[in-house]
Amino acid sequence: MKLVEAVAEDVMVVEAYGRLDSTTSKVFGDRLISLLQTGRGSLVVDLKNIAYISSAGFRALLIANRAAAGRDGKLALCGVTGEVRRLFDIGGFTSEFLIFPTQADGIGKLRP
Amino acid sequence: MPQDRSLRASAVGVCDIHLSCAAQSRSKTPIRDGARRVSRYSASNSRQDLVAAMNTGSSVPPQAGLSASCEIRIDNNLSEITRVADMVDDFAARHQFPEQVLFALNVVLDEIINNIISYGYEDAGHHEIAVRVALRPGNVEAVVEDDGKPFDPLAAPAPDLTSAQREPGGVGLHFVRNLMDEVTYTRRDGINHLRMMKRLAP
Repeated sequence: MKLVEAVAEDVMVVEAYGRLDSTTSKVFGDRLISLLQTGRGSLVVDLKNIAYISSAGFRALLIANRAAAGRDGKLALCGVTGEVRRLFDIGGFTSEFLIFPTQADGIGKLRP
Repeated sequence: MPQDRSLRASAVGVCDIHLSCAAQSRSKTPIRDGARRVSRYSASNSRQDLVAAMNTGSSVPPQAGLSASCEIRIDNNLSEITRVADMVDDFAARHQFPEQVLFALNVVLDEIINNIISYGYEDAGHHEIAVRVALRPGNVEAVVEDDGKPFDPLAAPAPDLTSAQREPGGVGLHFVRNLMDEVTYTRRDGINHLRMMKRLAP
């Protein structure tokens, strides 16, 4: 798992690459929380390039989502397509998150 | 139990011609980026290469119509899941699994092995978990065996997906039941055997 971080139009964007599973999700989740706490309080997480996500990855996303809400911030997801999207639906997670088709859509929504 | 015996017979059968994935995975430096890992094998997936690869992995030559398999034994440590995923990525690339089959296999193996390691043992000692993946006509089968507490993932209650303050616990086994086409559990001689089958065509 690898994270590529950038700031676009004053919005923090994190692109995740590789596996979001039991071995990587702790680092992933901790990084999202850290960015929410030290940064602008809002975050776009792009899942377009992940190999797969298991329940450990969803747990990290749910915790980050609550952390963002607790700080009056927002967590937006994008790149939720194909098999990843299917797992969001199977797990009932689709309605738990703000999901946008593209990074640009997420940035546009979260832009201060 | 008849189902029990047939599982044992099929598992022994495919092991005769298994690839050397287990040995390879131990010796390689772990590569964390799954996508990059897969691409390493994209140029060598012809039939001849496959047969050659199988021959190097076993003294028993592959026979027409027989399936291929790979196997790994891991310690009860979560970091070991990386080695399982590496093996599955390699095997899937060699045999050109459809993307959704590889995705499903990786997810369910992470869920099951994580569950075993996190909740399966009453002591803090060392345990081994065996993971086999076999390609058969029309489907892929993954078998996980552990010596932890008896646990039937099929008997676990379905998670409440509607509650507002839901906890993600329980959703992993829900994924397993939804992503696989067939899941069978047996407990035999102090070992949990979980067999998960996924069809290659949706």
